[in-house]
Amino acid sequence: MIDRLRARFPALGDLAAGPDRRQFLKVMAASLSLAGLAGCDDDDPRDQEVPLVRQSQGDSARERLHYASASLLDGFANGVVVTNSHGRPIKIEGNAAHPWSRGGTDVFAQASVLTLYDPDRSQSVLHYGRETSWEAFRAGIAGDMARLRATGGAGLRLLTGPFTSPTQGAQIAALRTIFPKMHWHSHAAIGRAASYQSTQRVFGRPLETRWIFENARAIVALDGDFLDAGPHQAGAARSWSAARRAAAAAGRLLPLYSAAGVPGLTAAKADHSVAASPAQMVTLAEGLLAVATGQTAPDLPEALAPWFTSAAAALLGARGAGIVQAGGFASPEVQDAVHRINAALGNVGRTIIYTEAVAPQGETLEALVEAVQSGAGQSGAVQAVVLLDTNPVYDAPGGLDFAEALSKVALKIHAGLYADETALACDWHVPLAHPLESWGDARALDGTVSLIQPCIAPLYNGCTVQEVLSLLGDAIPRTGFSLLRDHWKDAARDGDFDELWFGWLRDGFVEGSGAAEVAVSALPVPPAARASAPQGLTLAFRPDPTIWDGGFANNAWLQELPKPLSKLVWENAIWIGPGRARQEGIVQGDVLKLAAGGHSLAGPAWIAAGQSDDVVSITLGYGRRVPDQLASGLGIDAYALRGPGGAWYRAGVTLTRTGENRTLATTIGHTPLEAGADGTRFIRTHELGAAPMSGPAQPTLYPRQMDDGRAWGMVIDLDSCIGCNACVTACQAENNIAVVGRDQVIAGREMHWLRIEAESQGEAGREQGADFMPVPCMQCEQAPCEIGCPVEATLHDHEGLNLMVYNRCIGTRACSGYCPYKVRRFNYFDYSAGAAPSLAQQRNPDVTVRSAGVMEKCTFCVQRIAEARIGADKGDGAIPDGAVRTACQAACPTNAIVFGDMVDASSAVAKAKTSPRNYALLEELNTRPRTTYLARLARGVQG
Amino acid sequence: MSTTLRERLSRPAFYWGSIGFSLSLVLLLGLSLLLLFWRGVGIWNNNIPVTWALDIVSYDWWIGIACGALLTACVLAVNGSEEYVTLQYLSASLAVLAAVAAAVYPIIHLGRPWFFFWNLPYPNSFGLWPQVRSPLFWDAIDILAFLGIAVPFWYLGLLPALARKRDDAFGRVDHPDGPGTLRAQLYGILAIGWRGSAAHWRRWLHAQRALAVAGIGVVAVLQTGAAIMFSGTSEPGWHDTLMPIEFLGEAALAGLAVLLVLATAMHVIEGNAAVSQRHLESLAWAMLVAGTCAFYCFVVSQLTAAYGGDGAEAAALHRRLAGPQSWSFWLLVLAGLVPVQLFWLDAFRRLAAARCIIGLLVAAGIWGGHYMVIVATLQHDYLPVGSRPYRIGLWEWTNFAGTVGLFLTLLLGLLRCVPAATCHPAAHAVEARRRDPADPGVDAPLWGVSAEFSNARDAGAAWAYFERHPIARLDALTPAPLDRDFATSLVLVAALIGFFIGGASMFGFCAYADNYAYVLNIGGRPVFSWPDYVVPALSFGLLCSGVAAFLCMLILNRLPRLNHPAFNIPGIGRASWDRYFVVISHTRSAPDVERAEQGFQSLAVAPIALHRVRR
Repeated sequence: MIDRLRARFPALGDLAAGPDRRQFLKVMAASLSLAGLAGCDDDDPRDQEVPLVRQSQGDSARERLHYASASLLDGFANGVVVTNSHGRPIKIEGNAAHPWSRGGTDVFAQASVLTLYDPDRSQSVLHYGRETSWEAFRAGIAGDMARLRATGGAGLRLLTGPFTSPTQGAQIAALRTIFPKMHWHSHAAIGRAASYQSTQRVFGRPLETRWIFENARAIVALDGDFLDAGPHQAGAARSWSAARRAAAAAGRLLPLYSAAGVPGLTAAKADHSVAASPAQMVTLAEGLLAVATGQTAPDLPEALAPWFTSAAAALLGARGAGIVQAGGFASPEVQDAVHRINAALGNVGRTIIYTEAVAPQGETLEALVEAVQSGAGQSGAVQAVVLLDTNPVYDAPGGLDFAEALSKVALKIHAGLYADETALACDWHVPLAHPLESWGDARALDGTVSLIQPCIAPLYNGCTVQEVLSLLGDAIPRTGFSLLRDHWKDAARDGDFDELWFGWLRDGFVEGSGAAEVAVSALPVPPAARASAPQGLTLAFRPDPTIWDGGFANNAWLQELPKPLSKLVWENAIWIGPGRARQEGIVQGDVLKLAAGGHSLAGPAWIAAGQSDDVVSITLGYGRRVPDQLASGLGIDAYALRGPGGAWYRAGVTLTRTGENRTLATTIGHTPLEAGADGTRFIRTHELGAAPMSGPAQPTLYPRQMDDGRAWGMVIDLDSCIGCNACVTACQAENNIAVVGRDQVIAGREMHWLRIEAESQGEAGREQGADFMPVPCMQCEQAPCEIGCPVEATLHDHEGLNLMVYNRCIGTRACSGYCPYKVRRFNYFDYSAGAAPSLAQQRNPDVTVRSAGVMEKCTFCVQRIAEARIGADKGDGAIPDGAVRTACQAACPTNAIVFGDMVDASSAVAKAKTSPRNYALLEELNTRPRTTYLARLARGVQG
Repeated sequence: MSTTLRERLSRPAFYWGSIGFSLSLVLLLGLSLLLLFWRGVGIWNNNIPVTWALDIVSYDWWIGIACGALLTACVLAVNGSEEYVTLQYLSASLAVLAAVAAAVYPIIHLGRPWFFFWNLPYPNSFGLWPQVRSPLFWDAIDILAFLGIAVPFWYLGLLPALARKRDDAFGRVDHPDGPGTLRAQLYGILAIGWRGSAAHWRRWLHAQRALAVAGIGVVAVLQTGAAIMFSGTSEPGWHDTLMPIEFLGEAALAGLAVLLVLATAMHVIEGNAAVSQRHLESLAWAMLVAGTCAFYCFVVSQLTAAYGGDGAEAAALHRRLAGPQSWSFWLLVLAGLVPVQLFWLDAFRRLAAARCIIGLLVAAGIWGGHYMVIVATLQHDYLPVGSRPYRIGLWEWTNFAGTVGLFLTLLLGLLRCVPAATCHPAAHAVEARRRDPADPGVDAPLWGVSAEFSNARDAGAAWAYFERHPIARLDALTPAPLDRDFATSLVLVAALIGFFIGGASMFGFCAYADNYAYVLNIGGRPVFSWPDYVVPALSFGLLCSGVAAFLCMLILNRLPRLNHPAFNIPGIGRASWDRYFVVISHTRSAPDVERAEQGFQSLAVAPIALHRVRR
């Protein structure tokens, strides 16, 4: 019988014969891994999520569901709303109700939806690099855990990445009752340790600093970062832009003064900016402190004196209404001085408030290495390290040699989203679930607790950090859902918990959970506080604006996202000041060698306008070393040169040229930034109180066609735009925009529909100033592109949209040649076809995926307009103002983009178009763009 | 010219070597096209903003050469001078072959070339017509019109030469079943039964002149249309009002330059038989005229850009002069526009080497000009950060080299099949073989009487005599038209009607497509954008006029007709070379035949031979 079967159906025959040994093992391994998965995931709690909006009955497969959740950066939360389509999370929007981010998002939140589907993510438990199961992991560590439990956790070290989760904090506390001798260390490559250490020095305890921009009359940033990428960006940028708009409405400018060694977004947006070396930064900070405390100002070099005088005057003129801000990467002396300046000026409590530190801090990584090295071979030796959501083998300072220390530990367990460098150095690696497939909680910078709810079942067999902790500590491992719910059930004692719980899930955050202000008083300055400021060439480390500390390095959207100032993609570079470059004869791309303390690295030079000549800088996160991943081999690893304690500066570096020159992948052309042909600037400024910018309408032979119901239009406020790129990534996620890779970017073929032009103004007093201009398709009323197309693949619809009909396009590319704004993008190859199948799941089903040979461009998110139109047609036919929000608009943390129907005079966009700052790009060409700009504000006669 | 060089160039090894080289380039073209279709236009270095690069540059260059060559051929044809007939043939061939090389690009440069026909007005299931306001649509019609006029014009000019080759080939047939017969039959088919009848010659002349006029028109429309294609944008540097004239001048210059190089080479290889020194020097003069015109337009355009007060235009000029693509500007000036001025000096016009070098320089320079106009402008228009580097890539070069190979292969093949010398019967009567037609037999009915003369003068006398003394139908079979009187004929009327009907129907089509079939808002322009319809209407009208003239000539001449009683005249094979036959045909009675024979005998110069011809 079996023989006959085998003859006829060879495949079936094998089954009928019963499993052989090999097959038996395979089958059993599969069921074991299923059991392991179930261990994380009992009785599937993922029917507990609460959609933000309950939608009407209908075609449920097509229905879009929106879940309130949170995105994480260094453990800090920003409130988001996840859009699910066909059961898959496809897009992140801001959560307007969230008290901290208030609807703003950042690039990391926008791109997180791609990481979810990343095929390179860790997909199984690894034991010495070999795939195994959760069950095997539990069995494998059971003996060790029992032994550790017996000794009270002696020799057990827990190392966590940055987190703010109250549940996780409680779990660690509980774990320490089980393992009283356990040590808990925390490590963050960027983190907030430096800020907390500063408040510790000044106020005696770690504190979170917050800025109340609406009360401010003047802002001074000393190595400031409140507009730069980071957990604070969405919330701080939003309130800064609101305050600046409110001030302008009141007829005054909210001036921003910035001094920095390395230009960032905060320096770029400053009305008065100056480059200063680290030593000069200390002088400036101490000078401001002296002025604030009524002493005389120090002597300053000629280049800094005017800036100092006006910044000091502005701060003194706005006592109690000034903000002095320093980033976490400012030197400790500057950070300390800034707290004291604010205190001396009476700003604390009015424009500056302090709250308890949000991110719990364990012992340091250095302490762990010290313990391993000193205790090796002795009774107090470190026996086991559990590394949760952290990658110190890659991102620990090079001088620490963490990998070497780790190799001396007997049991090493790693939990991470990726099988990263640390995973490869550990005995066990377990995959973590992505926040979009997890239950969890996290605090925002203001302390507000956000609840994270899963929007899809885990794709790759991962558990959350909380579940892994439960696995270690609890006799019966608990699910993330029960851990979370029980924690909050305990925390919320009164009221109907179910009602509260569903309310929190629906809103995405716990109402009223923000941190309370604490009163502080500055400690006296210790006599020996005055450190000798670093002299000579200093190396500065900075977080990377697109891949942060390297944790996002495998995200192709973030890799191909042009860095705000350099527009570099897929790599980092050694930034060097123009003066030093000139002096040493260095040109863009020259490979430089940096050496310090026995370590060295080599990388291409980027000549950064506005950078201090005494500083070279590198962003972190590149030079990843995991084989066969997208991130590996890109850029230079700056961690190699990082000093002990993760300091942000390293003095005494030597710089030599290797004689090699490399092509850098940047989306800026090789011609230097320049003003327009006739000296006009494309990014314009408008002095407060000056006459309207746009001249009278230009003459035309053609009748204006606006009589067809709606007229969609957009206004982009260049004063609010901070160049953060959130809109670019949002556009990429919404519109299925392909990633093309480094070589294609160098060839000039990146596909972003929305680019952000950065223009260095080079004005006196704005050394580091740059203005940003997001350039989407202008949707010209008299669109030149449409004239060029011979096959009607691009044409106007009745609501004023300049449409692309992709399946009609034959690829003449005439439209792009005809377009003076050059906003069209062409599929020179079949870029979209190359994406991994899992990445294709992210795609928006409402937007066509474009094939080779087809032109594409921004269409004001026509799919969103169509959705609203269909909805309106079912009702009274009207689309209320604000009902359609383009992806870029929705993502913007500063509300710089306004979109709507220009025919409706009461709409926000119609009002914005009446602003005296309103102007059209290349107005003189008379293309009549529907997208216009509001000029950057400048101090006017009344200012 | 040294004989040694001539001998060296005339060797078969040189010819086959050239063919081999050209064919290898064609192979390269095939390879690059294969890769192109497989991977996409991304194999080129085109990017955003340089969406058009070597693809359109090469297209514009080839079509410019084609236009210049066609213009030359058409002017010669309208002029009607017999002396320049070989030059006209060379020039028309050049026009067609350059157009073939150009025609490679409009399709392959597309992102999705398999949908190229969406650019043509054909009834389709979408009910959607091409967007007729697009200069790319005009260009498609222009190319069709160019080919639709240039090919019949060229073929018409070739017809007598093909007949000559046919008769020569039949004369060389040694064995009826040998390969020579097949060759002769092939020429016979290509010659569609041309026998040099007087009536045919007259309509042939009319059709050729009608096509020549249409050809001049289509050259003007195509080149000015290309200029308008650029000025339809808002790009700086594409708007000078002299640009259409400059394009025309540069096209004429490029066409003449390539023609001059080719003609000089022919002169070196074949001696005076094909092209005379006088031809060459006239060509040099013509180049000087075109070159000076182009130079003037060029200089004025640049001055307008510099002093016109438009900042964007001035910046574009600055980038052309000193930007990353400035080499193309200087190539245009130093190779394309300046060297031709040397033709003011006699020595340079006379010296073959000088003509060749200047001709090649000019061709390269005009190529640089197209590169400058397209790439330098696209690379950087208004927004500075829109500018991205562009450098010509490997596959652009192979593609271009491939089209050069295609052009050379076709040219070498054509000149071998139909040498230029065969175009001019009067200039050199080579030893044409007599062809003895199969005897239809004495029982076959009589068709007429033919008299053979050795020159046109004697044949003309016989013609005049029988015009005064009509017997039956009078015809002459001659290698060239007996007289070149030019009177109105049905062919010209057909051409005129074709022009108006074609033009009106294209205008009507555009209006219909825009205003009724599918009304769309294109660029905010009025629905009835009649100025946009003018260019395609003009070129389509010219196309229809040319085609009408050509077809009218064929129909009225009852061609193709491969067999005819006239081919029974003994020795008729020389009628296409150096013999003139006067025929009294359709004589039904013996007295008529005798009267005709007597008439021929009574002439001052008696015919060389007199035959009774049976059908």
